[in-house]
Amino acid sequence: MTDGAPRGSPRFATTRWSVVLATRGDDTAAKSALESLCASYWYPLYAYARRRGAAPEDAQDLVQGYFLVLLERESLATADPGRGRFRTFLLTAFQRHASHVRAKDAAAKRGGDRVRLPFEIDDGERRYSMEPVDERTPEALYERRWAMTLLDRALARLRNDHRGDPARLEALLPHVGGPGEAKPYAEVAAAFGTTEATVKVAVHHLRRRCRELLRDEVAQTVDGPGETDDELRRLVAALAT
Amino acid sequence: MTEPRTCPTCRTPIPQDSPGGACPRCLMALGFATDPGAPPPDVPAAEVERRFPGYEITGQLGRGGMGVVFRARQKALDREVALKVLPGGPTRGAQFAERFQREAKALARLQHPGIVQVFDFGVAADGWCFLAMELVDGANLRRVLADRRISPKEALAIVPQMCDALQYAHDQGVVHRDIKPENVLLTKSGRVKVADFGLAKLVEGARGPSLTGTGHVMGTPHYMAPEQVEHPADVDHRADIYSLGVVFYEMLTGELPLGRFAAPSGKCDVDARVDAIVMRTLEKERAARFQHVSEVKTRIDEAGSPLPPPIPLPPRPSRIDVAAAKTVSLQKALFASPGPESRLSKLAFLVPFGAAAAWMTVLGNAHSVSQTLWFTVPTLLALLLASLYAWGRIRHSEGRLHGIGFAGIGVLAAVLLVPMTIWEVVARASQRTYVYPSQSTIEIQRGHAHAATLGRDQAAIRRLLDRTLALRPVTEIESLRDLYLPEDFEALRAMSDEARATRGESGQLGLPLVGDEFFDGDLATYQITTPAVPGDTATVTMWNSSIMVTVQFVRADGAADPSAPMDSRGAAEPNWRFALAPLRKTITASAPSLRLGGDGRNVGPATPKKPR
Repeated sequence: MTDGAPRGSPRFATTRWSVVLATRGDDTAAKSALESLCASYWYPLYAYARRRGAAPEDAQDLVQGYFLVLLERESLATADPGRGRFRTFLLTAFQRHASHVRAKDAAAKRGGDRVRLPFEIDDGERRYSMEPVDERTPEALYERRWAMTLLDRALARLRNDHRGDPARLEALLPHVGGPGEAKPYAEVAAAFGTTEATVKVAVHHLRRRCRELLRDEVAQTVDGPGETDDELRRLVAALAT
Repeated sequence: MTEPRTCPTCRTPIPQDSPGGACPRCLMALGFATDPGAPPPDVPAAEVERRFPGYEITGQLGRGGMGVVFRARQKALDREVALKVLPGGPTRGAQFAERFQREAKALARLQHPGIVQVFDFGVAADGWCFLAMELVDGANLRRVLADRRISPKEALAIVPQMCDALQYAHDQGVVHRDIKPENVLLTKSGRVKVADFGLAKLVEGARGPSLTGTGHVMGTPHYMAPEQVEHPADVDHRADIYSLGVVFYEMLTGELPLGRFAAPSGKCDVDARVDAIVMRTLEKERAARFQHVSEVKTRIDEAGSPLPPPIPLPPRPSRIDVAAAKTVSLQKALFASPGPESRLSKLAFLVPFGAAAAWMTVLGNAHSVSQTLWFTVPTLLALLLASLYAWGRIRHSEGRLHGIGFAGIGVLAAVLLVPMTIWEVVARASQRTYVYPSQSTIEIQRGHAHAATLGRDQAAIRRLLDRTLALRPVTEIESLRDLYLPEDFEALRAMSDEARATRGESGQLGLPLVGDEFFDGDLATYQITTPAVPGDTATVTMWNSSIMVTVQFVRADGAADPSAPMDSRGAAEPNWRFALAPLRKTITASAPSLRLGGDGRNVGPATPKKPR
């Protein structure tokens, strides 16, 4: 959904994807923004490639090759600012890349002077092996993984906020998603030697902070303020499938 | 393997890889909640009484995102009320008080049996405000849903009452904005009352301008219409229709319509008309939804009526359509009790197929045409009913082919049963002596069928039959006593004892070969090389688990066997009669009375054929 919100408004000009789009990846800031986005969201692509039937090495090569092309060449001309989603851009461009590579025989390109990417793609197979075996299409898996990655990013930041008392945060986290039930609150309170009311307030603060972080993370991947809510809805839907 | 946990909010399983153990869907939904489930601060009763001296707090009924609800006594009128208290905040000023009063007045004007009545309201100087409401004796729908699954029938009774209440409010210009199971109260007398009308908007004003600058979103994420998220400033009564749809869907399926969700009929026992209603309330574009909540009720009423509403199918509904719809309603009427209806009705409609299976078994034991019809006709009727039901489901599932399984079984059964039935009736009518009393006598008939076919050496065949029988369990042999001439029976018994005595290593009974006859191990195949005409051979194949016997007769002169292969049931009646005759002790085994004519047909009984 594009609702005509003014692009490049001061608040959102600083989000990574909008920087990339605005400059079409032509300057250093955009490159580092893109690099940082890719470093976070490579795994959904890997899972997508595997679910499409690529062998682990091929999926690794594909994703790696794709990011190299994306980060080194000025290939962002293909990014359509009107469509505005990093998530959709990444997938459609990856699909193009994959068919291109298939045509040119990926095997010939394997090996050689591989440039290491700034993220641990070797870890992908370990993570993929833990994916549930289900009927999801590659696209649905990609979206779900994307949503989970985004949640992980937000939670990582939340954990960073609370690095002073990680045990307490982990105890409260299960309650952040929903109202939870009365008994667990009491249990948490007992475990930390505090009152239930204090726990409730703490959860409330966590929710509020979590909300800010989530919205910020989503904003990093869309092109305008009006799209954050829509993207969020899509991500909730992706998690529901 | 740990048991999957279920999220208490959206009641879907929490995946094992959930971040931090929280439900990922609800976590993500936090992103667009304006107030992420803020627990209302504790509100001491004394504070409330101090600010609102007209009320005496007698208990606390609940706490929600918007405030605390107390059970209270309105002193002036000495009546019990539910007192919803919204604690004050620093952002509330005179403007808020004025706005609250304006909204609350509108709510107090709503008087409808399906709406929790607002009696009174007030704002204290420091921004605290309250609404005194009718005290409802019952439970909210959320609690009911948490306790048990609601049957489709109950859901179809609750939703129209909600529609009445919502339509009334919409007519008064009030949009609820926060329809969810928590706000639907079910009284002990079975009435539905919708609570917290317009409160979302009222509280929205109370919270002051949004800090996010992205528009103000109010409501419960999973129940909110898309436009409530995307354009919160531009929300009309059609948002309530969407939320109503979510509640409707949840009541029917126990799940929220998230992502690409299934039609309700895929999850519970409702037909395609209910699917159509639910799906239309859940349209993302509000213009595509029902435009008035009263339409929802009308459509539900139509869906519950015994005759289908005029369905916009190309020609007018054919007779079979109407019959199918009647079958569906009949099925609903029969199985509309609360509980696992869906399974029950499906099971009920499996009855015809069970009956068909039973029929297959029983048919073999039917002794007359009337008996055959007695078993056959009800089965076929049940089959017809099931097929109509299947047809009705398919026609009304809008291309999703619900009921195709029933239809497939129905067609298959019809293809198999109808010709068999006709055949059986004809066969019964023409074959008076055709008897299948039990397994053991089937064996006898088989043997005699061979005897009839191989009539040239009846003694050899009879011996073969006896040897076959000798391998049957002792009890079966005993049951044959009356059928045999006494001396023949003694011979059979002796042979049987011998068979048991010479039990082979495999545990199988066996008898030493006599002459040049040959027994195959499982008695399925015999080869007889001792017919009257030297060089003729006959192979009898008995299909173990059926009543099919084929006989291959090869004549020594190379001429084709006129009677083979022969099906035991296809054997001509005279052969059967002939076959059974010796057992009735009416004919001695003196001479075979079968004669093959020049064209290969049995032209006997006649003089025994002389060896060529």
